[in-house]
Amino acid sequence: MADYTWSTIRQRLQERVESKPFWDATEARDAFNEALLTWNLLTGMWKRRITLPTVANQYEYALSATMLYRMRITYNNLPLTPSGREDLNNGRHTWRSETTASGGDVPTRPVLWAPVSLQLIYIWPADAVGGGTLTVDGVSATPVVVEDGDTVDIGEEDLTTLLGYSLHVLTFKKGGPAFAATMPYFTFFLEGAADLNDLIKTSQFYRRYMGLDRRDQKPFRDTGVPLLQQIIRGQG
Amino acid sequence: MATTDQALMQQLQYSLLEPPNGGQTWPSGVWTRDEVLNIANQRQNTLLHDTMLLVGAANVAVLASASRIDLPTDCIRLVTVVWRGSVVRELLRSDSFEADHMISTWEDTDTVAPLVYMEEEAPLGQVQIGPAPIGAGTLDLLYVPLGTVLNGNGEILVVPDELMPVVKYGALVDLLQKDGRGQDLGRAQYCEHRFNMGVEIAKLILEGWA
Repeated sequence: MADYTWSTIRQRLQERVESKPFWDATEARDAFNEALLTWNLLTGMWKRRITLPTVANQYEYALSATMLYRMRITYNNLPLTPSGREDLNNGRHTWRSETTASGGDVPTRPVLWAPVSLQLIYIWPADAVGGGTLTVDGVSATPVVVEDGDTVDIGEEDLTTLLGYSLHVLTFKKGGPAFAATMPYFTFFLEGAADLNDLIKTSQFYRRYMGLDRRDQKPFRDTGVPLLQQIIRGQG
Repeated sequence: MATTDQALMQQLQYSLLEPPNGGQTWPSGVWTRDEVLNIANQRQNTLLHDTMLLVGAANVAVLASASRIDLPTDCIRLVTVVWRGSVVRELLRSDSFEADHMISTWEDTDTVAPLVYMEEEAPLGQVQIGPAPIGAGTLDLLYVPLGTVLNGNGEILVVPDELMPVVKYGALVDLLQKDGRGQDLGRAQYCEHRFNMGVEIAKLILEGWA
C-alpha cells in the first residue's frame, strides 16, 4: 500500500492518453471518486470500528452514517451471531419482548444480531440492564479526493485498476467505438473486485456480464468480442 | 451521505456533453432541468424501494375494532408491522385470499392481537390488519420512506455516496432512451445493466458481505 496524492493520480490518468486529455480537472476527479466509491462498495476496502452503548430493554440500534455497512458485531467483546428478521420471527415470535432477564431458555447476554437496513440492526435478546458495549466492525464510508494534496492509501495494482475504470467513465460521453474500446477496463475492474470479494461471483449480474453461466453469452471465439462490448455495439 | 443533487446533475451534464454548471442549464435543448431532476428523483426512489436500504419508523394508534389504518404519507413500501397491545407481535404479510381460507370469520370476529397485515385490498395509503383487535393498541411500522426531493438547489441525496453512481446510471437510462437527437440505445442498455447491478449489490450488502 502507498499514499498517492490526487495530483499524482491525476497526472497518471493524463498519461493514459497521448494527446490533450478530453476531460477537465473536475470531471477527472468525479470519475476517480466514482471509481473509489464503486470499489469500496464492491470490496469493502476501507474498514472502521464503532462502539455503541446498549440501552436497557432496547433491541433496535442505529449505526453511524460514517459506516457504509456492518460486517461483525460483538457485545462486551463476545461475538454475536448474524441472523435475520424473518428467522427471528419464524423461530421465536416472542423475541421482541425478551430480554437478558427473561429467564427460561432466553440467554443472559445478547447472542444474535439481524440487519434491518444499512443503518439499523436488531439484537436478541435485548440487554435488560444496559451499559454494555456493542462493537461494530464494518466498511467505512469511502475516502474521496477533493484537493490536490488529498491522499488515497491504495496498492499500485489496485490504482491501475481504478485508473482504468476512471478512463472508462470519462470516455462514456464519447459513446460509440471509443467507449466500447474502454469496456475491458470495466471488465478488469469487476474481475479485480471479485478477486477481493468472492461473493461478487455469486451475483447473477456479475455472472451474466462475464458470461459465466450461459454458453450463448460467452464471447464468440472468432471475434473475441466480450459481452459488454457486444452490448455497447448493439449486438448483445 | 454528502452528495448534492447539483453534483449529481453536473456529472450527468458531463456524461451528456452539456456544459457543466451544477445542472442549472441544458443548452442542447434535448433535455430540460426539470426533466432531469424528475428522472433523478424517480431513480433514487426506485433504488430505495427495490433495496429497502434505508427505513423510517412510525407509531400509529389503532382504535378497538379498527382494521384499516392510515400509513405515513411518505411510505413507499412497508418493511415490518408490529402490533403492540397486551401482547407484542410482528404481523405476517398476507392477503384476503389466504385469510378467507384460513380464518373465514376474520372480518367478523375481533381478537386480542391481530395476526396478519394486508396491502393488496386496502386503498392506497392504508394497510389492513386482521383480525381486528378487541382493544386499542399501536402499530410500530418500519417502512421505506420517499427520498428527499431533489430540486437542484443543493439537496443531499439520501442514498449513501457509494450508491450515487447507481442513481446516475439509472437517470442516464431514461435520458438516453428519450426519442430524439440524444437517443443512444446502446449506452442506455449499458446504463440499465449498471443500475440493475447496483440494485443487486445494494441488496447483498444489507446482509453484510465482504
